[in-house]
Amino acid sequence: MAPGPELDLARLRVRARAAYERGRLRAAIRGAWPVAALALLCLLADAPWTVVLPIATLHAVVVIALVHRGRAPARAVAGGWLAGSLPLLVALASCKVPHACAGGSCSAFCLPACLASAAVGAIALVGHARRRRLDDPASLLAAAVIAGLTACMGCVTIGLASAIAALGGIALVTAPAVLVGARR
Amino acid sequence: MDPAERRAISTWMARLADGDREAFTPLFERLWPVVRSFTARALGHDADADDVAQRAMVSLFARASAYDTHRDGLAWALGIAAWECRTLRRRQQRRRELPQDAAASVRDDATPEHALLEAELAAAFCAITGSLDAEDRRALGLEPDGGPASPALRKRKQRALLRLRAVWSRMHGTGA
Repeated sequence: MAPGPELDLARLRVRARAAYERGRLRAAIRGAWPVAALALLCLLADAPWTVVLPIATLHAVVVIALVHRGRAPARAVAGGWLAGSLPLLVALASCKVPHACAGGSCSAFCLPACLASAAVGAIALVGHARRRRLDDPASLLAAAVIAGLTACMGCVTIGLASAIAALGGIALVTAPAVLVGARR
Repeated sequence: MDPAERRAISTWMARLADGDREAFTPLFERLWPVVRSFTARALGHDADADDVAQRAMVSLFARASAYDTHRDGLAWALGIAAWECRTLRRRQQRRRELPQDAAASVRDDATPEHALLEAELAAAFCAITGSLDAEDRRALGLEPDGGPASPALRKRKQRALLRLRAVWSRMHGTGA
């Protein structure tokens, strides 16, 4: 049975392509639910919503864009979340620990804790990327951005310096890997 | 379809699910004839088959990112096409049922109107027969009459009917 003469395949192709992009966008929006969960966790840990919500919004937009685009950067999102959740949790826990004060001087744990946990998270991220063969610079960069945004959500609750420390820790470890990947 | 072609569809489908836009055109070109012939066989009607195949293609590509790469791509695509065929059949069945329902509802709706018309007719009849004298009413059988039918009574009945017709024509302008 031949198709009817009125059938416009070019138009159908355009409709199918638009449906594909819409479907990907819907899937990406659904796939960004961990961002909402992380934001809720931060809010429950008494983080200021004026700080958490803008970062969470930016985080969600980046995740949706990466997942919608697809391929290796989309697969790197999960690794970024895993790497970023360590400094996030450490930062949220640091908020609850009082400063160690003795003899009139106090030492804060939060800043070094954020830096150290971010570096550990970034090492884990590079290991995860190598295991999953995400060694192209774009996917490593995507994972590092997601890890940084995840870490930031927890670290900004204790100050901008902690957030910078978390981002610095991630950049310190992932930057060489990204550069090596780019040179190959 | 040969196994190599089938595997190619699965590969293109997996690439598209991963976000590789370059897989779109080759996949579309491979799937369209298969989906079109499947809907044609399933529905046996050219226009319906075109319509359903187009819907199936749009639906298929809308769900492409949810495709499980371990599954057979062709079976997955034909599953969506089969679902669209079933949807069309259900819609057609519902459409066939609708006129009967509509007729029933018209009958139901017509009943009060019909009853009203009948009541108006009865009232008009009563008004006209009320204007006839008792003898005529008895001759028309509208009042009990114990006596046997006789030629005189039949004559009286005929005259009563003529008078009834005349009154009806005078009041309603049409013959009774």
